[in-house]
Amino acid sequence: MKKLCVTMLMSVSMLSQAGLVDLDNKELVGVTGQGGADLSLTLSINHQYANDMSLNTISRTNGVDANGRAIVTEAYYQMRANQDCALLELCRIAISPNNHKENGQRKWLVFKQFQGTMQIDKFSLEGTTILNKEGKPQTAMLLKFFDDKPLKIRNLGFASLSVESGENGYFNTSTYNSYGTSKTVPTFDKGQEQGFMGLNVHGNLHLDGNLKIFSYNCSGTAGSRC
Amino acid sequence: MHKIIKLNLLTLCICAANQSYALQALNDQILSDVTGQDGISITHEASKVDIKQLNWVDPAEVGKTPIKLGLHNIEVKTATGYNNIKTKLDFDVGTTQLANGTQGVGIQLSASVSPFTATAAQIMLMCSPNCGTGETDQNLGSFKLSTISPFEVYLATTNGLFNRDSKVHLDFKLQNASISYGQNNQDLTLKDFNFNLSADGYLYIDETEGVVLTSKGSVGDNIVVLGRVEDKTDVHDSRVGNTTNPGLNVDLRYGSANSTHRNLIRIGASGALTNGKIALNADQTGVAKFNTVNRVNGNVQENEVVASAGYGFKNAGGLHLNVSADFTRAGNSLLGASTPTTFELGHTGTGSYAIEFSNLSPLNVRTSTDPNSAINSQNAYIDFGQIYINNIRTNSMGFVVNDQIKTILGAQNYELIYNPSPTGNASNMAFIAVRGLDFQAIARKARFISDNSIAVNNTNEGTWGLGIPIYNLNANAAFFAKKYTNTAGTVKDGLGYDIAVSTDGYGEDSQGNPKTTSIIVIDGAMSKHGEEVNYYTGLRNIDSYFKANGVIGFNENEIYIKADSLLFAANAEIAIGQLPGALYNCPAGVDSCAKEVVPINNFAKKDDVLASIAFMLDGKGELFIIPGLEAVGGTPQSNYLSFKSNFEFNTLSSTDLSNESKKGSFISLSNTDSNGTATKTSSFNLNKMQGHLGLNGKIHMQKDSVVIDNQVQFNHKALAGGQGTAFRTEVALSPTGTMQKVADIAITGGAMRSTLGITPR
Repeated sequence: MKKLCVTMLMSVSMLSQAGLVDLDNKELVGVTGQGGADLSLTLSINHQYANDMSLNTISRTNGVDANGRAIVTEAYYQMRANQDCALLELCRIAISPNNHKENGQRKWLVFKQFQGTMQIDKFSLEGTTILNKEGKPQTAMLLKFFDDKPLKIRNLGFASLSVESGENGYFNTSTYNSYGTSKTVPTFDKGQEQGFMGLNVHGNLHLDGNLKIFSYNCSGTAGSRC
Repeated sequence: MHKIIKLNLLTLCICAANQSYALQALNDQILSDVTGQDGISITHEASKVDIKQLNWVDPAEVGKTPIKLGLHNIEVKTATGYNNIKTKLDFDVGTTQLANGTQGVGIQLSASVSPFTATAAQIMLMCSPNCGTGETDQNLGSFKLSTISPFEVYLATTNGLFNRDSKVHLDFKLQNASISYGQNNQDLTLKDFNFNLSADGYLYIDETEGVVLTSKGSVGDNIVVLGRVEDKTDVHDSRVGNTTNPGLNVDLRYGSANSTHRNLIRIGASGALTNGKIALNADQTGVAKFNTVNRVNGNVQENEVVASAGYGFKNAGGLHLNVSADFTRAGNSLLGASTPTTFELGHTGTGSYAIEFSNLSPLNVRTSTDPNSAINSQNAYIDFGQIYINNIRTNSMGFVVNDQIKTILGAQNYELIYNPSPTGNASNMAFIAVRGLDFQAIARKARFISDNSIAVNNTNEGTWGLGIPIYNLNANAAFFAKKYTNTAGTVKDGLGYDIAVSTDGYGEDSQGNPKTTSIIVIDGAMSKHGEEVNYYTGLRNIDSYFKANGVIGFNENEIYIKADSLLFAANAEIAIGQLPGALYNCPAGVDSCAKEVVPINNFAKKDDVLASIAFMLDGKGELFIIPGLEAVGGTPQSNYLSFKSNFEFNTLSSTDLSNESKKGSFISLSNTDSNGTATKTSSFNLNKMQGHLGLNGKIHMQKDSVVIDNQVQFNHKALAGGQGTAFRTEVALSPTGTMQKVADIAITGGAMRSTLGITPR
């Protein structure tokens, strides 16, 4: 009988202990707050950051200037001469629309020295529920962007845009050296890849708000999608 | 040794012992307490054991000679600090009290081997003494097993040895072992390998199933506990109490025998399992049967197709294994004091982090669309399906794929016939086939954990989870010896392989419960209805087919995998929604709303689908897996897994290039529309991908986040000089099902890097 009592007491104490263990602080913290994930994304093309996988940041900074802006001491969002694109014709994107050919020569619209780095330090991804046009609940992907975490666009663009001919016209390497019969091109353009315009975007794009993405059934019939 | 001589006397003692125990109920615990009281005890000590050959002979089909797979030149030595390898076997027989009230005669068997190191210099695939023309014995590598704590097995039966109606208790303690596979003096090692289980169940022999060990019998189910094991190698000073590794711990390291091994990856499982089963027999008839699942207008159609080519060996012997188990979660009535199943997956070595997954459950939250019905209490499970192991000689095999894959590949038949041999001729191979592997488990909860070599990770437990369920995986894998040339130009021994794997996207069991192959993340925060909301997003219903043939070589500090041919095709849906059987959450800003259940066959419907993605990559490539650096004071910035790879698309003929409907290697995003009667698919495609790409990547598992860092080098061969070949592709739209080319795109070279950091909440 004594043994039975002891056993019962022990099991009671174990139960109560188990009850306390069930709700520890960590788990309490766990259930508060919204699920989802915070994301950071850096995308870099043909810059030092893109080529050197040992780099962990797109720039180094040291303090802030009078306007409160970080002072960049080393910038990795640049195409270093003779390093990140030793052969300049290898940093191009070319489009040949509509099978366009003249005299058997394919025409390519070539973006030369295509480059850029974009970084967003934080945006968040979570699920949310909306009412769709049928008035029914539907899940949407909710992307949140924050004003203090801008999309940093660094040297995004291309040095020159030109139309090139030939099946592999995107590899053409013509540069500005002389014009007329024997006139030398001024230093500013000399040796540059030929083309009629260039583009460089550099700045911060501040986004603040929510983007909800969901599948949409426009006809309302079962299984239909738009 | 005297005890053996006195065997007769001991037998008498056993009888006497039986009488003294006759009135006592002998349960498993008591059986384990009585070790060594009576019975036979054999102790053997050896300083060294040499075994020249240990071969498994696979019976051959009629007209062919058998092929052997064996371990050669085995040397078993004592572990450091021990004088001898001590083997102990205790055997006892006693009366037991059975569940039906009668008494039985139970056997108690206890064996232990003191720490040792066993090495096999060669793993040989042998044709001798019957080698035909062009055949030779093949060396596949070396093997090593060592332990630092005793290896123990304990078996107690309640009525006879093989009895499907009476319980047995099994303890299997392979703890802190090290298992290595080696080539060229480099080893791929399972460090701190644990297979530590304690189980109640049934052991029997069946005429069709063979030898069966199962936790579930006619009397009911029992639990199998994968008990955690003390980590005896590298534990941080700040950790108090018993620091453990999972009961099943696969911690992969890489390096040469005398170097500090580098860190690859760690996978672990611990806690209680139920419905566990291992069956072993020689029936090979199922190896040619492929169960594939097609989806016709959202309806599931299962077909069994028998492959016609290459399975002549199915009528001879071989090994046939079934292994399956259910995972438990809190609330399971069988659990008692045992902990539910948890998985661990992540990086390994000093300063590393991993993710622990728990609350494992099947895909569907409920089994009924009644909003007041109880939450689904079915278990998540793994069923390895039918595993067949053979030694074969062939140059033609069939592999059957489903309708979805056949369409992506543009194949004529469901059965794809290929040559697994490294040459055009038939050759000898070790062959493993898997038919119908199912892993239906969604981890609704996950948290970051730290390696035992650093302090406990105090990052808060989140409400997120991850699901990588796999449905109906079929695989053929053949291995053989093959030479390769490393980057220094030296010819080395490697392991040749030929692998074909497929998964099916979606299916249902006989009760209509969904099964899927998906990669989804789960948001398990509380919904407005007071239960887990179970939002999911990711790729779901993945039909896939992967086929590669090449060689695996062990280089210094990296594993080299070359694919002379590589084909990867898949079709999946990008979706966001709530898991089947969950309650639709109330919209943002609304605190209460009517309860409505997400359809149980939600994954078969298009409601959650944003777009479908399909691709086929056809070419050849190389992959270098670079393990993380092991060093004192390691951090995720210094100790991480990385890879370098390159891929070259197969060149298309000029006829194919000018054919608009020919897709070649492609990626497409598509939508399927239905106006109630007809279904139309419209797509945006990148077709006829040509050229070569270099792909480099790093995965940093951190304290509370994962950073995935990838670099794509277009036209990577041009890095060696010259203009190389631009990466080219065709942009095409298919608004009506007919492919319409829009433009050619060429990327002449350069590098693109993306760094994505994910911090779950």
